[in-house]
Amino acid sequence: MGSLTILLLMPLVALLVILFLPTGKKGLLAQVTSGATLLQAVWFFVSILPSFQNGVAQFMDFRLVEQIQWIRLDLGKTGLLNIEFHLAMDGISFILVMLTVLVMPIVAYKSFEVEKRPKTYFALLLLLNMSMLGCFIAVDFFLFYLFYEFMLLPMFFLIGLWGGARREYAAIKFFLYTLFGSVFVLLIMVGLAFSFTDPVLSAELGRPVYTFNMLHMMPDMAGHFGNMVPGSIFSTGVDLMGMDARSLAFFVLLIGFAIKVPAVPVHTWLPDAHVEASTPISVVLAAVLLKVGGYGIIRICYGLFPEAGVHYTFWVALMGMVSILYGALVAMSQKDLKAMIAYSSISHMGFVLLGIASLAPAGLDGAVLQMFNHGVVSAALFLIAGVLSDRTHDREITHYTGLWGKMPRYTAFVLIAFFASMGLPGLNGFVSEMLVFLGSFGGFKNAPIPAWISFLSVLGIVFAAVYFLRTFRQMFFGEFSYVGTGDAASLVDLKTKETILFVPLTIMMIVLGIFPGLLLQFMETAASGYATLLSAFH
Amino acid sequence: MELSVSYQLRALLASLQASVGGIWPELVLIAGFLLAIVLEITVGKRLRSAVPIAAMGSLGLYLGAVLLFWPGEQLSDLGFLHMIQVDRYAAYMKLLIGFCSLLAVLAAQQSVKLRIHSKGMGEYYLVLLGMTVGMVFMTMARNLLMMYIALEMVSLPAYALTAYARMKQKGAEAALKYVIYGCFASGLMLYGISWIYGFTGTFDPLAANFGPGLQAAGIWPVTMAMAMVLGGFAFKIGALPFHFWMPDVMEGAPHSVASLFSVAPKVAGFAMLIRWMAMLQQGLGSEAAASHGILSNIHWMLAVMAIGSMLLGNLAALRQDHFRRMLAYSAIAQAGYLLAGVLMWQADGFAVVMFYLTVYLFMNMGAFLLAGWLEEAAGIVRIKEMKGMAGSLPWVAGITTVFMISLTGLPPTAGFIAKLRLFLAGLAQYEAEGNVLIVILLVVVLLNTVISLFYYLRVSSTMIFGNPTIKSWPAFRGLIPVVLATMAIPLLWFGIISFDRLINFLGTLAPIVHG
Repeated sequence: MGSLTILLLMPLVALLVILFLPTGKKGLLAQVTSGATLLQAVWFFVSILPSFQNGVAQFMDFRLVEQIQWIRLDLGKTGLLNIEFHLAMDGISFILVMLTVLVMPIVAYKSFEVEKRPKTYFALLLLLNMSMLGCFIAVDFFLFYLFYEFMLLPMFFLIGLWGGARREYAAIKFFLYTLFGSVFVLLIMVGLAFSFTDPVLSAELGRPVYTFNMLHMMPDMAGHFGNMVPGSIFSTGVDLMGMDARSLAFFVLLIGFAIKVPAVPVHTWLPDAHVEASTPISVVLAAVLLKVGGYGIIRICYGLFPEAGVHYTFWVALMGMVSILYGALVAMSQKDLKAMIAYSSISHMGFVLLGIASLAPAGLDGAVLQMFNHGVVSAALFLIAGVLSDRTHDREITHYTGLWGKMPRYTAFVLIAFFASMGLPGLNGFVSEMLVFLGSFGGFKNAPIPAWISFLSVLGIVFAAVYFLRTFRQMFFGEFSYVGTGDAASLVDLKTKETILFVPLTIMMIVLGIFPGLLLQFMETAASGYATLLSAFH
Repeated sequence: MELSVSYQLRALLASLQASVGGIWPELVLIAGFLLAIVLEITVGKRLRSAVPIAAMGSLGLYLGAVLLFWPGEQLSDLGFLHMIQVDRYAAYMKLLIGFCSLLAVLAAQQSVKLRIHSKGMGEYYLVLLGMTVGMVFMTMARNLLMMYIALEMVSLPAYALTAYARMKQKGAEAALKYVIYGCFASGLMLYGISWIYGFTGTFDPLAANFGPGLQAAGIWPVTMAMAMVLGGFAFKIGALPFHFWMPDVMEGAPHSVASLFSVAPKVAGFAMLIRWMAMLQQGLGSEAAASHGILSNIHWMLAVMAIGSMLLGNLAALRQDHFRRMLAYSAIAQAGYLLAGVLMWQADGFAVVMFYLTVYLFMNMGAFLLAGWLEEAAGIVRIKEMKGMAGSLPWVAGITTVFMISLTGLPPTAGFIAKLRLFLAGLAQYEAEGNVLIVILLVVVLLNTVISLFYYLRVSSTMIFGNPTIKSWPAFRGLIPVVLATMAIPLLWFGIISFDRLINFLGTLAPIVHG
C-alpha cells in the first residue's frame, strides 16, 4: 500500500472509529478528527514530501504512482473498458494536497465548538476530507469523477445542518448548481473513454481496451494524440451537433469546473453557501473545495483539450476578468462581512482563470500558486468573520467601530490577512497575482489574450484595496462603539484557542510572501510544463 | 384426410409434451398456486399463516428451480408452438420478478392493516402468485398472441390486488382508474396486433411472411399499428402516455402491492419489450427501405416516450408531498431512463436495461418498503411528517439517503453505475449509428438527473434537517432493518466495490432471436 492510499485511508479509519464512539462524547469525537487530520499532515511531510525533495524535474513527472487494476467492463463488439485505481502526484497535485492537509487540522480544531449532532458532523467532515484529497491525486478520470461527485453529498449536509437561518436553501442551491456542472462532465468522461485506448493493454489482450486514464488522453509534447481512436466521438475533427466535438467538450467541462471555481456568471451559489454555512465549513469551502474547480480546468480542460483551450483561451480570460471585476465591485457594496469575503473570493479566484488563460509559464505558475495563497488567505478571512459571529452573532460591517482598542491581537491578524488578500508586496497574495499578470501581459503583442483584459483586471487589485481598506477603517479605527443587537461586552480579544488558528495561516502568508520559492520549487515545472504543452497548439 | 388430422394432432401433442420440459420452474410456481388455493379453502381460516407460508415457499422454490434449470447458451427449442422462448435472458428476468414477489409477500405479511382485512388475507397471496405466473410468462413471450395473453394474465390479478383496499376511498378510486386505463391500453394493443395480423397473416415476428407483409403495407399504417402495440407496453412499464394509473395506484393500493407494482411489472414489461424489439428488428430485415422507415419511426416513438416520461415524472414529482405518490412519479421518470436504454439497441441495450432493472429493484423496492414501514409503524405518509427523524432513527435516515442518492444516480451508489452503463451504451450506439437523437436523449437524462435530485434529496434532507414534530418514533427493530439493509447493501456494493462482474455477466445474456 502506497503513501497516497494511506493518505486517503486515514480519514476513513478515523470515520470508522467515530462511528463506534458514543454520540455523547463530543470532545472525544473532535479530538479523533483533529488527530486524524494532524496525522494526515504529518504523514504528508514525512512520507510524501521526501519524494519531491529535489523539486520536480519535468512536466508530467508523476511520483508515488499506485496503479491497480480495478474494473474491466466487457462492452461486446465495442471492446473492453478499463478502470484503474490509479493515484499519483505531480507538482500541481502536491501543492493542492499540501493546502488540504494544512487547512484541515485548522478546520477540525475550529469544529470543537460544534454542539449539534457532533458525530454526524465529524463523520461528514472526514468524508469530505477524503474525497477532496482523492480529487487531487486521482489520475483515472472515473476515479476522479467518483471523488468529485461524492464531495457534494457531505458538503450538502454540512451546510444544511449546521448553518444559518436559510441554510437549507443555501445547501440545496449549492448541490443543484454544482451537480448541474458535474453531470455533464459525466457525458464528456464517457465520450473520452471511448476516444482513447490503452496502448499496452490493447496489445496485450488483442482487442481495443478503452481507458479512463487521463495520461493516455493527453497529447505528447509535439501535440500528437498517440492513443486517439480515429473517428471516435472526441477525436480531432469530428462534428457533434454542428460543432467541433472537442471544442464542445471543452466548453462543457469549462462550465462544469467554472461553477466550482466559481466564475461569473455561474457563481451565484457561492455567496449563499458562505453566508449560511458555519465558520469551519466556510473555511473548507473557500480554502479547498473551490480549488477543485481550478485544478479541473488546468488538468482536464486544458490538459486533455489543449487545442480547444488555446483556441478559446480568450473566453476563459474574459470569464476571469469579469469574475475579478464583478466580484470586487459586488464585494464593495456588501454590508455583511462574510458576504464581502465571499465575493472577494470570487474576485481572487478570477486570477486563477486569467493565469491559466495566459498560456504562459509565469501565468500557469501564478494560477497554481494563487490557488494555494487564496486557500491560506481565505481560510484566515473566514475565520476572521467567524470571530465576530461567535461573539455577537452579527457580521454587519457598519455596526462596528474602533475594534482596534478592544481587540488588538485580532486587529493585527485582520490587518495581515487583509493586506495579503489585497496583494501587498511582502505578503503571499502579491507574488501569485504578479506572476499571473506577468503571464497575461506576456510579450504584450504576442500574448494570446488582448492587453485590455489584463489592464482591466489590474483594476481588481485596486478595488480590493478599496473594499478591504474601507472595511478596515470602518471597523477598527476610531472610538469603540457597537450598534448591533448583539452583546457589546462579548467583544473581547482573541483567546489562546482562537489565536492558535490564526498563527499558522499568518506565518504562511508572511513566509510565502518573502520566500515564494519554497512552494514554487515543487510546482513551477509542473505548471509551466502545461505552457510548453499548449505552445504546440499556438 | 381424417388420418392426417389425427396425425397432426398427435404431432402437436408430442410437441406440447416436449415443451413442458422448458417450463419446469413455472410448473413449480403453478403447483404452489394450486396448493395455496387448497390450503385457503381447507385450513385458511384456522391457520392464518398457512397460505403466506405456502406462497413464500413456492416463490422460494421457484427461484431455486430457475437457477437449477438455468438454460444453456445454445439455442433452445421454442416451446408451445413457438409461443415462448426459454433462454437465459428470460431466466434472469424471472429471478428479478420472483424476488420482487417474495418481498411483496413478506411485506404484506408484516402489514397489520392488511391482516385485519375483513375477508382475510388468503386471496391476496393467491392473486399475487397468479400475477407472478403472468409476469414470468411475459419474459418468455415471443409471439404477439402470447404477449397479449401474458399481459392480461398480469393485468387481471393486478386490478384485484389494487382493489384489495377498496374500503378506503383512495383504494377504490385507484382500482377503478387502473381498470379503466388498463382496459383501454390492452384494447388498443389488441387492435394494433389485429392490424399486424392483417398485414402479415401471422403473430410470429420471425415467420417468413412477417417482414415482407409489413414492408408491403407501407410505413405509416405499420407505424400506427406499432404505436398501438407500444401503448400496451407503456401501460405495463408505467411510461407516457399510459402512466396515469401510477400515482393513484401507488398512493391508494396497499403498500405491499404498490412496492410490487412499481418494480415487477416494469421488469416483465421491459423484458417483453426488448425481446419484441429484437425480434422485430430481425423480422423486418434491414434491406428494404420500408423496414428502415418503420424501425426509425418506432425509435422516434420510443424516444418521445422516454423523454416525455422523464420530464413529466420528474416535474410532477417536484410538487408531491405524499411519499408514495412522489415515488410513483419518480417511477415514471425511471421508466423514461429505461426506455432510453432500450434505444441503445446496437450497443447491448438489453444489458443496460437488465443492469438498470437489477439496480432499480433494490433501490425502488427499498424505498417502497421503507414507505410501507413508515406507514405501518408511525402512520407517516407525507414527506413533511418525517421531519427530524434522523435524530432518533439515524440508521433509517442513512438507508433512506442511500436509496435516494441511488435513485438520483449519484456516486457512490449503484444508481450511478446504472446511469454510467446507459451512457457507455449510448455513446457506443452514437458512434455506431451517428444518430444525434441519442446524444439529445443522453443530455435529457442528465438534465433530469439534476431535476430529480431536488425531490429525492428532499426526503433525506427533511429527515436530517429540521426539528422533529413527532415525539415518539417507532423502534427500528425486527425484520425491517434486515430487509432494508438487504436492499441497501447491494446498492453500495455495485456502486463502489465491484460492478464489472455483474455487468459483464449480463452482457452475455442477450435474448435469443431465432425462428
